[in-house]
Amino acid sequence: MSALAPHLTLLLPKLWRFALRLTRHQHDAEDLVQRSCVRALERQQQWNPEGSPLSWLYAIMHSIWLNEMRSRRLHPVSSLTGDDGIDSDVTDATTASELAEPESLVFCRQIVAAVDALPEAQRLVMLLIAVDGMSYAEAAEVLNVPMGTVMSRIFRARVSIGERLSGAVKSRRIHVA
Amino acid sequence: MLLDEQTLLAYVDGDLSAQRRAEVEAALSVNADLAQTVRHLQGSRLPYQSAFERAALPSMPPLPDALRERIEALSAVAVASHGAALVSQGRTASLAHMPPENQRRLWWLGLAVLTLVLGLGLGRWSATGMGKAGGDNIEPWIVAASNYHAMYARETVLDGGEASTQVAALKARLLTQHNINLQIPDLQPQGLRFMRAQQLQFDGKLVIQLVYLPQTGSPVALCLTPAIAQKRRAAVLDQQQVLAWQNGAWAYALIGQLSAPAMQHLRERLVLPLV
Repeated sequence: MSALAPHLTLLLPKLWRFALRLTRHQHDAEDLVQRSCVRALERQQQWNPEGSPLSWLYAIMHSIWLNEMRSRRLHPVSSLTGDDGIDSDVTDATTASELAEPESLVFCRQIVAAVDALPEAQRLVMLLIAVDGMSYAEAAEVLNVPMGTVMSRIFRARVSIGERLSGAVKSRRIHVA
Repeated sequence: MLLDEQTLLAYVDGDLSAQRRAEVEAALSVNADLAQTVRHLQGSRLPYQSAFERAALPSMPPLPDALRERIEALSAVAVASHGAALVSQGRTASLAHMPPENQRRLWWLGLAVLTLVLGLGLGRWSATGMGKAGGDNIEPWIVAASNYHAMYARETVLDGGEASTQVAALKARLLTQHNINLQIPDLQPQGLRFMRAQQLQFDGKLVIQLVYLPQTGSPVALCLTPAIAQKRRAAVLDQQQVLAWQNGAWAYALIGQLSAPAMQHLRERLVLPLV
């Protein structure tokens, strides 16, 4: 019996979110998830059932997306809006519910914006490690780079985020105190 | 002391021993730039997971039902072709002891049917992706056949086993069921070894796929289907060259990762009709 197939359906929501974050585009994400699942099933003999299916599937997805980007000679932009883009604009549109908890939601949006503003390589390691909770080794497997490279990217990413949010963090801490 | 990135990250995340921590703090006390970097790192200790759940997740489009259904169908095909119980006409037959090459063949056959019959939509990048040419004018059956063929790796074809028995059965079936006498073109002089033939289906119509393997590189497919007249055209679909033409009542498509001149050369060497 195919050992991988049950994981595909269980992990589908995570695959979907990762595809959306990679592509920042709904239609591209749909194609990416589908192609990744087809390729994973095609190559399931290469999967080690003792390993993490998620990082193996992410690795396939990342590889397919890299090839697609190379063939398009394009890079994802930092923010897309519109019919099938994912709106990650965080600069305006305060809603009534935000006013109920203004600081918390606004601060969350600042964190998301800080990650989204990172160079692509750093953004990906932050998404894998800080958001998805992967280990450095798992992130290295997904991105097909040495673990030292992952460490270096996460270091630079965190310095950038800390620098960008230092004012926000400071004001937040003062407010809480 | 030498402070590398790993040590500084461990310091701000509280993962250092007391002794090592004291060493880092001593170094920071005499290096203002390093201290500033560490302050930024400390400022990056944030609740990323909850921030993304609160601020990013709600704006993400939900997983489309159609995509979920397609992946579930793919998984079902994989399970069926890898040894799950197959229920047919009230009887249960186990595929668990099927040889691996037959299981793989069944998986590919299942995927082929699923891809072509359900129209899995793998062609969006192909037909409209930026930097791609010619996809908009290609008939849907060719786009589907190209997308299916794009999933073939060289190893997939090599794993397919002996072609002669399978081809003989297919030719007999085409003759008895469709009154079609299929001729398999010999492309050995052009460096292509015939590997397999499959009967597929697109939009209720028969599609015959003949797969050849060059000495190196990806497989090449020659596909044909009974179709109304179509203009002869060449295009690139998902990095694959596609050459399409009409011969009598049949539409043909040559698909592969060969150069456009090589595809044209192959086309000119084909003796038609094949049916």
